[in-house]
Amino acid sequence: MPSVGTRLSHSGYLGTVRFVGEIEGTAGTWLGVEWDDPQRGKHDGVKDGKRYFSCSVPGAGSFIRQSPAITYGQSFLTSLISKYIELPRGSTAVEKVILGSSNGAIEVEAVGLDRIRGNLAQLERLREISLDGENVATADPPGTITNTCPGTRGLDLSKNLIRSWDVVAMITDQLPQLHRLALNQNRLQPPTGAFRGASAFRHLRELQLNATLTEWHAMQRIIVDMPVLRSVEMGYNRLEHLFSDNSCLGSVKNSTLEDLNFDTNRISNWLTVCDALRTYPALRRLVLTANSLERIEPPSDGWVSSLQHLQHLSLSFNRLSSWRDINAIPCWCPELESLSLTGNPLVEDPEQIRNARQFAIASIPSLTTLDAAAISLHERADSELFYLSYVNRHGPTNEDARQREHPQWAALCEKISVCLCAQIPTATGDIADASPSTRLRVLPTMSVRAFRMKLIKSCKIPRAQQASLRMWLKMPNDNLVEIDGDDGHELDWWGLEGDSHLFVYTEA
Amino acid sequence: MSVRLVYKSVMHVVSTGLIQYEYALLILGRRRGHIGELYTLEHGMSPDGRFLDGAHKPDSDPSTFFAETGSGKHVPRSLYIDLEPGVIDEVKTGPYKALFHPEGMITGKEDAANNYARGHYTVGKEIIDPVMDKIRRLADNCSGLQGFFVFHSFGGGTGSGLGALLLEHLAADYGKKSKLEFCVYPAPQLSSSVVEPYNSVLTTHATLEYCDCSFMVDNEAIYDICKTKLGVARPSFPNLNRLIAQVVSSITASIRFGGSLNVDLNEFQTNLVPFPRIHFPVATYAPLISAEKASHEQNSVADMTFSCFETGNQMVKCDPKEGKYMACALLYRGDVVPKVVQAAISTVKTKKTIQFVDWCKTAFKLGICSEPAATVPGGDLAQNTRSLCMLSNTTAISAAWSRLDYKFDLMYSKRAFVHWYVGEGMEEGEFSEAREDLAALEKDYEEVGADTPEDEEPAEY
Amino acid sequence: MSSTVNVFVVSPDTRSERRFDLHITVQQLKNKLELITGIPVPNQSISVHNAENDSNILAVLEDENRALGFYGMQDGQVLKVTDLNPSTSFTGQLSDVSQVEKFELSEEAYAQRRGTFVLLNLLESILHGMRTDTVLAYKQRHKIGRFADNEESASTPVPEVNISIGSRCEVETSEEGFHKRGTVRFVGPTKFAKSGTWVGVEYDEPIGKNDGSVQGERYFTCRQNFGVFVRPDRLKIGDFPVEEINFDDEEI
Repeated sequence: MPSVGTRLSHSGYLGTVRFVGEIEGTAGTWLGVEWDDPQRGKHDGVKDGKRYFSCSVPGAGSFIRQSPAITYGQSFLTSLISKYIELPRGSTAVEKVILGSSNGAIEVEAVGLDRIRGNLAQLERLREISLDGENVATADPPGTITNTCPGTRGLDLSKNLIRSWDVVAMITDQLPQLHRLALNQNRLQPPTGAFRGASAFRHLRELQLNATLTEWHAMQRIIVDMPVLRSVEMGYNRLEHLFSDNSCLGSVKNSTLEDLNFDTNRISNWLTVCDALRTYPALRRLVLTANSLERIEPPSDGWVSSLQHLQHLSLSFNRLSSWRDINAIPCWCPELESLSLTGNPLVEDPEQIRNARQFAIASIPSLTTLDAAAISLHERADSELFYLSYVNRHGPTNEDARQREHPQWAALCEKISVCLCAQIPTATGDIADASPSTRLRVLPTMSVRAFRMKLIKSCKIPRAQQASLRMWLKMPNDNLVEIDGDDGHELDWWGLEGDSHLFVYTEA
Repeated sequence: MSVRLVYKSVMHVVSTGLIQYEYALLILGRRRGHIGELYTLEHGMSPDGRFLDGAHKPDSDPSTFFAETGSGKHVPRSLYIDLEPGVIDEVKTGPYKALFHPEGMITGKEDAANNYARGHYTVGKEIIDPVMDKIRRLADNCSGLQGFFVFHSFGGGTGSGLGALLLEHLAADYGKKSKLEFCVYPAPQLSSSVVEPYNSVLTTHATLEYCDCSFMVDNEAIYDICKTKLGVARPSFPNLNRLIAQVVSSITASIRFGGSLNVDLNEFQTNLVPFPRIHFPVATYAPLISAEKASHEQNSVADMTFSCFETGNQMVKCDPKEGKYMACALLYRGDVVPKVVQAAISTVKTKKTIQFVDWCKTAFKLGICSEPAATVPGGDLAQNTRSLCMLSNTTAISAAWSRLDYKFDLMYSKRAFVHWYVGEGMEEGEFSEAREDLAALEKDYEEVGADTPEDEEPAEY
Repeated sequence: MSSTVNVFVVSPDTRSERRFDLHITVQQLKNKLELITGIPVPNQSISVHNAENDSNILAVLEDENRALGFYGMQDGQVLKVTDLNPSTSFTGQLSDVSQVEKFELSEEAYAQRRGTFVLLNLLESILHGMRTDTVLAYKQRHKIGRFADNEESASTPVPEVNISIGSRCEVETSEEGFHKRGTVRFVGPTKFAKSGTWVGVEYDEPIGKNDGSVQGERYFTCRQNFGVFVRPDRLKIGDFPVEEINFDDEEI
């Protein structure tokens, strides 16, 4: 009889033994199994009101009998040899396979496979090994794996019957070159004292723990022993929170982790994410695709962002619905270069979609790629102009309110606005009579009408003279062009740019 | 809503210099350096064409598409040709600019204005001689040139007109070398220009006898893949081009690295092309997973194989299950074990039966190349340890020709825009001659399927 | 900042991504657009939009002497070209193919087409001719398909079937974890199919289709719904024990 915690495979379904024993009202011994695929289960380990075991995913359990149909797996090397070593078929024989779905009518001729078989059979030369779904359960004695495939750089052990991290470490400890490790769709018990992590993962750079139900604090504890780890995938793990377990970790900083992927989880709180990631100051890439984020709060005063050096952020398919969320991003990630926002209510809304891209570009000054499409300098300038004129037209007029709602406003004004020299002649104004000039800072997208108002205000032109106000723009060739008529045009339309000189005339 | 894009017409020639395998690759289209980019990654070279330290892979043979210069740098044997200045400037200033020798680029002074006749006659005539000169120089540097890869679009003026002219000249000067095309085919729904049906029919007719094999790609299919599978909200040329480059890289992988299907392209095309005229295989690629997805499933050999027999991963919009396969090559790359492949193939399950034309039974082939495909860092596609590229010659694609021909008929019945072509010195007779040839091509596809028993028998009684 | 702009050009008959120099005038743009959209220059009305499905007009390119840059065009924007006077152009008339009959080559004309022979030396000429043959001509010339000399060699060779009556077998199924096992009761040609070998199987359970007879013809005898006929490639012969509904499969 297997012990509790043993992994098993039954007709293609994987599960973990949670209970071994008798059940009231029935005869014989039962195995209580928690299935990896919850659909395969029938209950939570409760039979006739009595609990025999519990499941981490509701409804994933059932009781089965011990039977020959159950496999408990085999050793790493047994799986490796049975997958990679194939006897050559002889170079003269033409190999043919019948194509499925063709009613047996199509034969596929396999060309030169013996050459590949020959290469693969030299296990010591293998660099990539994938034993996903090959019923691996145990490690082999120390030294045997090293002797067999010492050159392994990438190893895929997804969907197997390995029981715990201790077993994983016993395997990887024998693979000195290991850079990449995939453990997707496993159910691994946390490491114990026997965990020889420090040497088992010394060169590991990439780790995949997708669909393993690994919790955040468990992952943190595991990767402490991976000194050069750069990337971790934690997708499909039903994560709701990233609670840091500071008690056991202290404040150990991991300065190597650059890439974290939380694709398809249930994370809803941005602040806890930022808090949890404090221990990873080197983080460059963060994927939060398909989670439940509704808000991105700006950092509160004095809060040092844990995402200082983030370059790529994916927030696709979350529930972000307000532009305030986007405005908060540059406060958290001042070096952000690439962002994905597809699939959020914010950019799916038919009213918003029209301007969504321009808004996002203008709101995040460091961005160079949005939703996988590069942002050209040209597009950035256009978007920023568009954003400014939009805020000008539709945003709050109160400076403070505007600054709060559109944090980039002031910076963009600074960057884009045009500095004008308006020369106001006195009274009957002779242009040659160089009267003192005033510098004005305005947006090129400002309408002439609005500019007039600003001019009157900043130059304190008396009401009586306002009606007679006329303006000329000094062209590069010293000609003067009068800005008149249709006030609806924007300054840009008239060709005003930085350091343009404008002559203003009013009748006394 | 679906959107189509048209490739601007640039021509790119890369010829290759291994004793045995040498190819010239001619690109027409805004494909820029993406192909070179992938090739350099896969061969472990830096953007300036030098080998990265310790990265020289023993099995790889960059000389297939790269020439080595005296300084140890690898330069693609390539020629970019565009009638309109501007587009090529991007290659000149891009990150891989050092890979492309200025000698390898030719620009004209005026564009072909979406007009086959301009690309083929008036404007094309002026540029073809310098182009052929440069190709000759590239060819002379190869010790055993095997053939040419021509990349162009069907719909535009340079792609259709100059592309055809180039193939004609290549046929005349290098009759025995193989000439392979990678062509961007008009999308089913909307045209990128109003005269696209004319250009496509004229160029197909003009190249039909000169080209040995044309790999088809349509913008709509590529666009949809970018959007639905790779999560690119607003795909534009760089996204589309990177995906196409991935497919091109897989097709040429077995020449560059030596795999089990270690064939030169001559043999390749012999397998795929049962009749000289029926030379338009459809490319399909798997897995297509966004770089932002956490690896999960989908990339087992069985999944990849299955998805290549479904329409979602196809680079051309048509339904192969509506037609019959004549030939098919399954090119696996990376960590792939023979028996797993064989098991996957024997258990492919589709909703509808896969049919083939009886008389070319052995034309289904599979090969494995152990060198995994590289992906461009920061691109849309997830890096994977294995991939599959399927090339299938199927009668289903005749629906695409039929659609195009019908549009041509509608326009030509009104003689719409014909004067633009006649104005460039084209005989009106060329229109009907081309159209008749395409009608014969449709009949060819019918004839291909004619020998197969019509009724499909039930799987069991 | 670059002096070109990448925009989408949309007209009743076309859609494409294009690049224009911002220095060209609207007049020059219109000349280019005629060649793309087919709308004559005098009929063109061009409006600028942020997105294709956005009816909000940002600008109308009216002044033919102004440069494109004047209108503040941005990358990714959409130029909608409409035809002000479709009665004098082909606009909208080029999509409904039902207006004309599609040109099809007659069987005779097709049968007469042969590869073109060009003036090269004889061998080259023959090779070239073969290259350009229609499929029909190619088949005839090479005697393949229905033009094969020998009817037998052209038809599919009957795969050798090495299955003996009484063997245990498993029939292919797509349901995971479910086995369709039984015993071979018949091997050979049948009347219900034109050609080829069929294998009659008696399943262990009533998951079949018949009792050993099909279309009134009996090939073997078993209980109703225990019998089935499949092609040989869909079953595996081997030592497949009868799966008992046993104690082991019990599950609660």
